[in-house]
Amino acid sequence: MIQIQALSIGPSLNLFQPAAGFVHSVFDGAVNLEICGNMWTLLSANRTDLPLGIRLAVGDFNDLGLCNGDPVNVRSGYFGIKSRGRCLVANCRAVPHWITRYPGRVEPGLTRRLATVASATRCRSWHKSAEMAHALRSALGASTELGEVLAAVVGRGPGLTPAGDDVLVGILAVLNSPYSGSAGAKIANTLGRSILPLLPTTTYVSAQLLRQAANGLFGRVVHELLSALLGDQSGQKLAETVQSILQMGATSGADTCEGLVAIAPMFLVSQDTRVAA
Amino acid sequence: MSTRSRYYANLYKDSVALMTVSAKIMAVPGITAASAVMGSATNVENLAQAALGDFEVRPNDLIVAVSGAEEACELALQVADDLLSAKAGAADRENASSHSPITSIQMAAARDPAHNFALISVPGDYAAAEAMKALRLGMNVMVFSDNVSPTSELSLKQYARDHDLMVMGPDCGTAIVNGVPLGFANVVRRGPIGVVGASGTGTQEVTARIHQLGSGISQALGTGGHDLSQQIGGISMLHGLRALDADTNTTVIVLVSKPPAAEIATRVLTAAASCTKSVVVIFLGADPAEISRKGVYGAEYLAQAADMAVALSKGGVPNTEPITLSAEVESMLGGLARSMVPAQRYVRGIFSGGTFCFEAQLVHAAAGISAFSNTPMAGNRPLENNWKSQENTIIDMGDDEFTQGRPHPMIDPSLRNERIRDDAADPATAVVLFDVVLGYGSCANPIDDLLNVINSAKAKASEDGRTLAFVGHVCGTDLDPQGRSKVMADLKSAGVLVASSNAEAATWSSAIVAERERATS
Amino acid sequence: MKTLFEQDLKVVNVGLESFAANITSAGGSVTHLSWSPPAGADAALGWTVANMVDDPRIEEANRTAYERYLAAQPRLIDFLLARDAIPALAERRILHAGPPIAWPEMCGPQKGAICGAILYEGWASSLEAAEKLAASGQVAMEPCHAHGAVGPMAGIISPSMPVWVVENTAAGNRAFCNVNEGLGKVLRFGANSQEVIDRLRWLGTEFFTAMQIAVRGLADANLKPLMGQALHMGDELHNRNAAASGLLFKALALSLMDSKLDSGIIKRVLTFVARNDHFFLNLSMAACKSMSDAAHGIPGSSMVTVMARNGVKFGIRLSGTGDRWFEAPANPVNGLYFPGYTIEDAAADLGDSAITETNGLGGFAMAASPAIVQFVGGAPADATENSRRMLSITLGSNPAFTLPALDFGGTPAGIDARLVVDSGILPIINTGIAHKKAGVGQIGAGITTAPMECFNCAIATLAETLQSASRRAGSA
Repeated sequence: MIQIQALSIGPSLNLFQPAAGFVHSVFDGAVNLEICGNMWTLLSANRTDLPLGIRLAVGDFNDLGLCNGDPVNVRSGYFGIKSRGRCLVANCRAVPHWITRYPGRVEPGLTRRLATVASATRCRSWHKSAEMAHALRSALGASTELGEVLAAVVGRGPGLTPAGDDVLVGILAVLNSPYSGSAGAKIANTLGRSILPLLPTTTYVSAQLLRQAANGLFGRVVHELLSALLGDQSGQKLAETVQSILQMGATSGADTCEGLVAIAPMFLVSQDTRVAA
Repeated sequence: MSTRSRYYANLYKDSVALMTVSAKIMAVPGITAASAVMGSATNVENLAQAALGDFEVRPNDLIVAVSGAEEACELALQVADDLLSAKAGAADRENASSHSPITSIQMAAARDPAHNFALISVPGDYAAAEAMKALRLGMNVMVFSDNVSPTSELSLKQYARDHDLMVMGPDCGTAIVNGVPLGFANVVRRGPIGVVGASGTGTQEVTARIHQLGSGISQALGTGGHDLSQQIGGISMLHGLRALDADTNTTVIVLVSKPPAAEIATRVLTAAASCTKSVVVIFLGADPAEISRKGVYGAEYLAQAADMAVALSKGGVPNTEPITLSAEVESMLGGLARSMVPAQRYVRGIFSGGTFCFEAQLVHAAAGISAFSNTPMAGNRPLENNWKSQENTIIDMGDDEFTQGRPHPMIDPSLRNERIRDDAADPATAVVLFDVVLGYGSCANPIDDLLNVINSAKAKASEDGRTLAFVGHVCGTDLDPQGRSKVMADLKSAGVLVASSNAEAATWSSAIVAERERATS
Repeated sequence: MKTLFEQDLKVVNVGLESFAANITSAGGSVTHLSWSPPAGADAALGWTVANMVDDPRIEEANRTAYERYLAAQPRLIDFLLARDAIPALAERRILHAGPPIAWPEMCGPQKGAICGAILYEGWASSLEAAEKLAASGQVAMEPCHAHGAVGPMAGIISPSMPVWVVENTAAGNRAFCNVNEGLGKVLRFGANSQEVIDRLRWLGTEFFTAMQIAVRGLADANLKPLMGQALHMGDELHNRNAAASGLLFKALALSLMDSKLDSGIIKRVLTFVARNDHFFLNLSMAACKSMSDAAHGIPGSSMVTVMARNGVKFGIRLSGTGDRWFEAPANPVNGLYFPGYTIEDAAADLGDSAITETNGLGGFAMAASPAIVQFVGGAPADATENSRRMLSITLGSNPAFTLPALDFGGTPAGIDARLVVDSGILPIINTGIAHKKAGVGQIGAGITTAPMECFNCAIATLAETLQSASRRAGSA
């Protein structure tokens, strides 16, 4: 038996419910698991946390010799993977669940901060991402077009998580944030439902992440970006978070920001300049 | 004459291991009394009463006490010491190779979360706690242990029900889950019939018969002997029934038990009727007609339940006819009976399986033959002295009185064989009726000693001018470690009349007794 | 149960070994337990513990407590006289190691040390008078732990003694410990001769002034990284502190060089520190105290936050049961005695230093420092095995304290009292052995375990608190 140390767990995970599954895919910094219809992700120590993620004190997963199809078992706060005759077990019983704190109110200067994010994003995103983000923004106003636009966005673009999917995650993050109001929540609902039938048209991993986003679950870096956007008056934390998110994937993080930046002005407004959306 | 003892701090050994040590040191020449026990209050008191010493120890300490000749005591203590410090068994070695020994269910789950089932056979006082821990860790549980309080059993089963888990037991001796034999179980091929049984040997008879008929078992689940009581309400049987109804590999379900409390019977039968699959129900001693309803088929005896299930699984009609004897068999039995001397009148049924004892009583009662027993059915009477047969006697040698400090007869048939010898020597005995139970858990050589007993008894009877009938059945399959065909053949060679089921054996026995009655009236 | 039919059966066999053998012969997968009745064979307590397994209230409480423990950042922020750091010492009060104990019951070394402290404070002028004063009840005697402090061996802290002040910057709580006097005839082993008193006086004056400047001038006062580094250099921070003491010496020396202190004072102070390979022990203890105090006080938590001995009883505290002590006679120490001494000469286990094991160091970090297993006839692999075994009774492992021998996995940390009671595995403690007569000193070293009765009582009490909490909630 090989003991692996767990460092943090996504708030949506309950490892005290017995479950079983298998390894879906193995990467240097992440391993995706298929558990009872959901995708959980094991993350290496310096990767950013995910809602259905377990971050481990592991540098490179290739060192562990895991293979697709290796059986995974979850019980009583432990999860174990059987691989090449050994059992790798992580004790997650008392491991902290990560959580992002949001500011008590939207600090003034939101527009300026959005502009900062937008300009940092522009040169890093896939060249069609801004276009897709704007198309979606228009479509959210007129829901008859929504289905058509979504069909052209979901699964479109390069990467393990296609650019279109990342843009959608950015949009959903804004709509699901604490300050988007009831209008935002309603549209988040509609958008989420409309995405679900299109999931088979994209990759397994991206479909799972998109489904999580549709259910209001986002990675830690996205939460931190939103939180900084809303409340970081000095701009220091915002700059750091933007740097982190832009480093994700080749364009993945930037594409997410494109979606976020396109939608934010419509929904994230300060208390005193409320606009009906 | 001296008394010597030794104690080992914090060394725990299970009951079987302790009995083995006691037996070995008792066998040392010159030893008059010997005991190896854990330091519980009761055991310490017993040792004092047996004049083996006064001990101030803790319950997890182990005491070895002997009395006899001085040198014998010394030797006996050495023998005990060697046995107790024996190297870890094979099962332990595998665990010890990587890390320290695994001492709790939680540790096992922590080493490998794939553990999904706990089999518990520790002393009754501790069994409930172990079971609760296993359930809370999300495992299904089989509790072989007996002497668990009804309150604890209820707590366990309520928790299990709330979490879609099953508690098989307490007092559950037999189960086969996903093809794996648990406790005392036979090796049976996989197939479409699922069994839920409140009786261990009852389940063994049914599953073995299903295999003999060419079919197989998807799952054989136990409920323990108290599940169908008023207090527990059949929680496990209902859970098992529903689980098998939902199981894609099961097409027919068999329920095995003695008759439950009336209200519980209704609950179970209603649930059975609402199943999507056919359900055969054998409540031994109940009237099948009262059980049968749409989709539910009442059986009268264990083998018949198996026959009915196999028929149903093939899309056929289940046969509910009682056992009939062919003309050939009738005439053979009649002839045998008529060749006995006037004094011979009685059956002596000496069983290792409690359910077989019960079924045998039922079959004899149906033929108008009442009997004495240590576990009498309604209408039969208790023996004055369980160690001495009187008139027709059908006894369960696995009952508590015979297993105090001794292994169960299925594990060690010596006490049962002694009783057969004594009853065979009794001039009043016409037929000796018995069972041989094979499978995992049962004695590796179940009939070696018995064959000697039978041969000597027959020889002695012959000297005295008596003809004895030995009637038996072998519960098991050819896949069992002991091999059913060989056991049956060996018994036949010794002149035993080997029936194909317990009910058939009892039918043969009652035919002989009935004939003796006619002959002597 | 239906899902079970779709999985491979993997059985845990609890009881008759033949059942496991049969499953294996039949081609099944089974793990046989080396089982013995848990909870000291008390069936009722065993049932109680069984119902506490995976109890969401306890798991949630433990997660909170453990998170606070992991997040703790002990920092050496000051060096003060005890009466200025601990308000209760404004009065005639002496703190001692271990759970509460009355003067008449105290062991030899602790009585000797208290008398020495009374003489040092000037509350009596002869040993005889000091003993009378101690027995009279006019001097309050309380556990160090009652005031956020810890002390090794006799663990005596009196108002005029200097103490390290360690603050957990993550939560703000503080912990205190006295200064390690060195080896030989010292107060903590019960010696109270003039030599001892003189040394205490020097510690409370010249050493105190200089060290306070040094501490306040430290470039980096974070203790956790220093301790983590020492673990990679052969220390386990209870019985082996040489590396940590060396690292601390570097930091203090540089700070003192920067000060305006006279070079003679600096030399005397640094020589005192340099001569004592256990100098860091008292800081290790204070740092540990601040970390487990952060985890203390979470209702429903079964995490052990204190393990301490007073030479008569071993006492523990749980996070979820407040200030209650759970005590039992200490277990014997399995070890080696220095030439001329035997087990007959030994005092029972003594001192607050088990706070290190409470935090995953000492015996729990034995893999980092295997030398002690030679005292019990073991090999380095045994030391690693000891550390590994502790993983079975802890909430997790501490990533700040990694052990190379465990593939740089963290030390087992956060003892869960439920796991101790259920598995029968006792927390292991590396310890020195003191002579039972005051003032003789250390006569051996070895390995001991915390007694099971402490954990049995603690768990029973925790269960009661949870029950009354749910009764109150039910009737509210």
